[in-house]
Amino acid sequence: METSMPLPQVTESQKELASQAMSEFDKKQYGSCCSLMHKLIAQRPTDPKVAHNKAVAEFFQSGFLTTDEFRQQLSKVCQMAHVNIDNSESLEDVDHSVIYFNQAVILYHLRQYKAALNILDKLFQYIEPLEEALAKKATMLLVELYLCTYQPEKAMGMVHYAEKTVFTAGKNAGEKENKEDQVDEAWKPKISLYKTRCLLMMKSMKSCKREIKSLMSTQAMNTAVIYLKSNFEHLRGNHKKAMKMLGSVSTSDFTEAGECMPVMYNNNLGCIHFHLSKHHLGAFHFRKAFQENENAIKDIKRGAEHNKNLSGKTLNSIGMSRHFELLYNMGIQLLHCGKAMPAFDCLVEAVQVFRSNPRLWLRLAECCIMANRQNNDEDRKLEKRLEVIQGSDGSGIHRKLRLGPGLKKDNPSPGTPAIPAATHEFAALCLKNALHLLPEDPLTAEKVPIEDSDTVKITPEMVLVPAPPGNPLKAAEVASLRCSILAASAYVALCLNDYTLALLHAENLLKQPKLTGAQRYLGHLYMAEAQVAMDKIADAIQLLNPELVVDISLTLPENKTEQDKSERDPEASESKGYFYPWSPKDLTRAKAIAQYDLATAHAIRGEYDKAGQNLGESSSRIGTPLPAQMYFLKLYLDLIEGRRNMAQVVIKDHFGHVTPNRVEMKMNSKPGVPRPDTAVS
Amino acid sequence: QFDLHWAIPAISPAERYFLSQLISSPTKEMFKKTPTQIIQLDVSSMQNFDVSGLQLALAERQSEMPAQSKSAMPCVVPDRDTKPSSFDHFGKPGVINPDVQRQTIESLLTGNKAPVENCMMPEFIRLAPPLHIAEDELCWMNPVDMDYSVAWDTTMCVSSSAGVEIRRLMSKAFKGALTLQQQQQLLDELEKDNKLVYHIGLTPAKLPDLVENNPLVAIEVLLRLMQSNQITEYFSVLVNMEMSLHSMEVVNRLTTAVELPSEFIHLYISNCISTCETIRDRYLQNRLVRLVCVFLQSLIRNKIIDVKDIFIEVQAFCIEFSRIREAAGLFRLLKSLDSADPQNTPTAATR
Repeated sequence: METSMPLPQVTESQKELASQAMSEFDKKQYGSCCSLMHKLIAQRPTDPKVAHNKAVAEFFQSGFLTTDEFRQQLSKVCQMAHVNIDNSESLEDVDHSVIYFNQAVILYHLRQYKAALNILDKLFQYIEPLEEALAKKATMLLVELYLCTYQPEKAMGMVHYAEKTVFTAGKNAGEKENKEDQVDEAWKPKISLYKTRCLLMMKSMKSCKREIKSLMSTQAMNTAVIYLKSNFEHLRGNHKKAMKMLGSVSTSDFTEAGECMPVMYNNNLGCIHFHLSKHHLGAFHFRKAFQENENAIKDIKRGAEHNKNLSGKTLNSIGMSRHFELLYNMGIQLLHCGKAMPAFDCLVEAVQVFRSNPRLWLRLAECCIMANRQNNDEDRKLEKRLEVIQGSDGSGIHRKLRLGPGLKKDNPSPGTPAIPAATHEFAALCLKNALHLLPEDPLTAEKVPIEDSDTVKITPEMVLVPAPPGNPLKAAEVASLRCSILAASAYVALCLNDYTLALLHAENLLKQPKLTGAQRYLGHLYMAEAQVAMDKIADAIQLLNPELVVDISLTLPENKTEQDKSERDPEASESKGYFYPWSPKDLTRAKAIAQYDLATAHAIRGEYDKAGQNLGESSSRIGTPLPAQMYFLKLYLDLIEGRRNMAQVVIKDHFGHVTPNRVEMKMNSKPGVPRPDTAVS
Repeated sequence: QFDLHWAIPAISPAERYFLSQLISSPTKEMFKKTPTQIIQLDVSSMQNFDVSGLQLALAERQSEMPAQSKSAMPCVVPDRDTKPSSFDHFGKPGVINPDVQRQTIESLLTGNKAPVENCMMPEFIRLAPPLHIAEDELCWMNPVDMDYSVAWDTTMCVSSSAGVEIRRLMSKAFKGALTLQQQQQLLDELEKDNKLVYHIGLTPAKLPDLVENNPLVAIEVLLRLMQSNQITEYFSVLVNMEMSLHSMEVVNRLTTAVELPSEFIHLYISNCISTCETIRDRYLQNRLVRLVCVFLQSLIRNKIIDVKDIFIEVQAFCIEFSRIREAAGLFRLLKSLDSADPQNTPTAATR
């Protein structure tokens, strides 16, 4: 500041010119405003404020098409005023506040929310002395930015602050009149909208209901309100109602803020159908939203063809494209359609933008898992069963059967796991990211000695975990996400033959306080498999006891799902629960699978009698068609104990095409003396 | 009865002899013989060959391996035709056909992944976990009902004259003491315009300079900044700046003018005491201790702090510097308050 030359005194005529320009600006007469500003800048070429307002006037005059130029002008103004927005600790002079604000506005439209927030935070320290209109604008933008960065608590705090200070009507008018504490009527609906958005994001449904009610009573025709209401009904599980609300809005193409309504409409319909488990319909709507988005961008681009960079699009439409949000939705939807590869392609792009979302990383891993194993009934398919016996060679006395080596395939993926591909290696990487993005596991954190146990520990759990572009995760969601990640991690580690890690993840999973029945069941299976590989078969056999399998439900029991149930309306839960089928579907089959694994463990330990017995019991309950593994084990047990005829019966019955040799029962009575040379011929 | 296709078939003594020779110490003689010769060898006359040591070592080694790695079995299983498969074979069961034999051997032993290299072992059914269930995962889109647009600077060409002069004075005030006249001008201008204080370029970082050079101005400015939401930052700078006569003066004046957060005052006192304790220069130390004592006495007398909160700390301070008169005085004040304290209420009541 010391280096700057003091500005020349403002003359009366200049003052007059400035106020004229301002009134023209207020009247939206940007042309005449511009010409006035040209006169003024000729007289005061070193005044940064004049330069600034000239730039603003020209930007308005252009219809917000010259964003690039405006940015250049803005940075020139910064130089003139000796302001370094990016590096300053805080605002030095309230005179510069408008520059800060405008910079933040531009960044907001460029969707650089963090950078915009950074600047506005600095400005906010000086909110009191700000001129009232600017203070209002700044707080509104701040709230919006907190919402854009999924920080609903901060946004809510700001709304409350704004209600108390900035928006109280006529706060300078004199303290005697007592109605001052009332919020300015004109701003009430806006504030209410912000509050609703915060509450929706925080998923505190009760207060949200109240807020929405008052909104609906005053501005039931407002599109934004209707969408919020629909969102609210959707979150409560009233999907039909939500759909109806959406349908009630006439879909004009663009809002004033430059948003494309058909994109939003179709996207939201997609969300609703997803929750109704109508995945293909959901995918249809997402695809439509996608097309609308592409079209909208194309239109704008066509308009901007002869212009460079950002200019040519209006400021509002620069950040209009919802490409990545749509990819995210689409990817998750496709995964639930069972289309692992297309889903993977969508999500792998989305994750580059939303990399702080732990659940998205889990979804990517799930894509990889599904790409390698479509579902758990895959083992029962004919093509898998055909792998049991691969064929025969030779004829006559020389005839040989070739058994398959098993279903397990260790094909190391080509390239490094860092290059995204739907492999287990990449899945392991994704899961590692997901786990790192979660707050520290309260279980492991507890091991650190803590003195007062009950009161303090609750607070860190209350923190919301960001999951852009979706709403942030609440504590209960984080806990359930952690369980899913651990289960997937254990599974993937097994697939990669990393048994130590698999054991670790499985143990960790089983320690979690709130497990679904299915997760506990899987935890035991994974742990047992890892233990067998690590030669702790006795432990595994204990775990695999089919009697231990008592519950394989995919969701937590309703009454136990923690306190926020009370927050939710009892009237509103139409359909909740799982969106994608999982097998085994019933307890009998689940038990049978555990028992099959038990048979395997016995077989590996050489206890063939027990293995055979368990295999027999399991096969009667596991349901048909039998998984291929059962044939393998059956043949294995028969052959390893030398019951060649028995094996032949199985082969002839189930794989008759590979052998012409019928087993006649009388052959059993005939002592089939094994000739020593048969094995070598 | 049992047909163990995976077991090594029984071998003749001649073969056994050959193998043992091969493993232990093959003689050159051996390699000159054809397979047929070896098989026809009469081994009964040979000296006893013993492979039990070898077998023992093998068993030992195998016992170290996990059960799973020992559970595999060969994939190739003989399946001799029980019925003739062509007319040639009628009536001649079990006849070796050299062509078929060769073909079979070739297809089993050769190739990239020869079937004989495969093995089969018991395998778990490994269930993939169910897809994670999240109730609120997808991105719902709501229209934003606000137009965030660029703002006009309404302060253009307005009241800049006072601002410029004030700012010039302030930048002087950061560097050195202002004259009385200058101070008065500054304070007058601040008096005139409530919001001017935010335009003078005083950031928390610059506060110490102002305090050292112009404590009176600093006090006035801070009093005007009390409404700012940054005031705690100013306070924390003030508390942590180097202790001096001027800073103490500012704090003292502030305590009498407004109600300061008590933790702020405590922090400042601790800071003062530790500065006194650590300073090396004896003369300066005495001076500072006296200052602190007077400062504390004034705080206590004006009931700005509760003695109980800082009693121990201050007492220790007094004892350490008991050689200084003011410290002794402060100590007496503390004691009198402390002894008066229990009877405080009854005496007050009787009066």
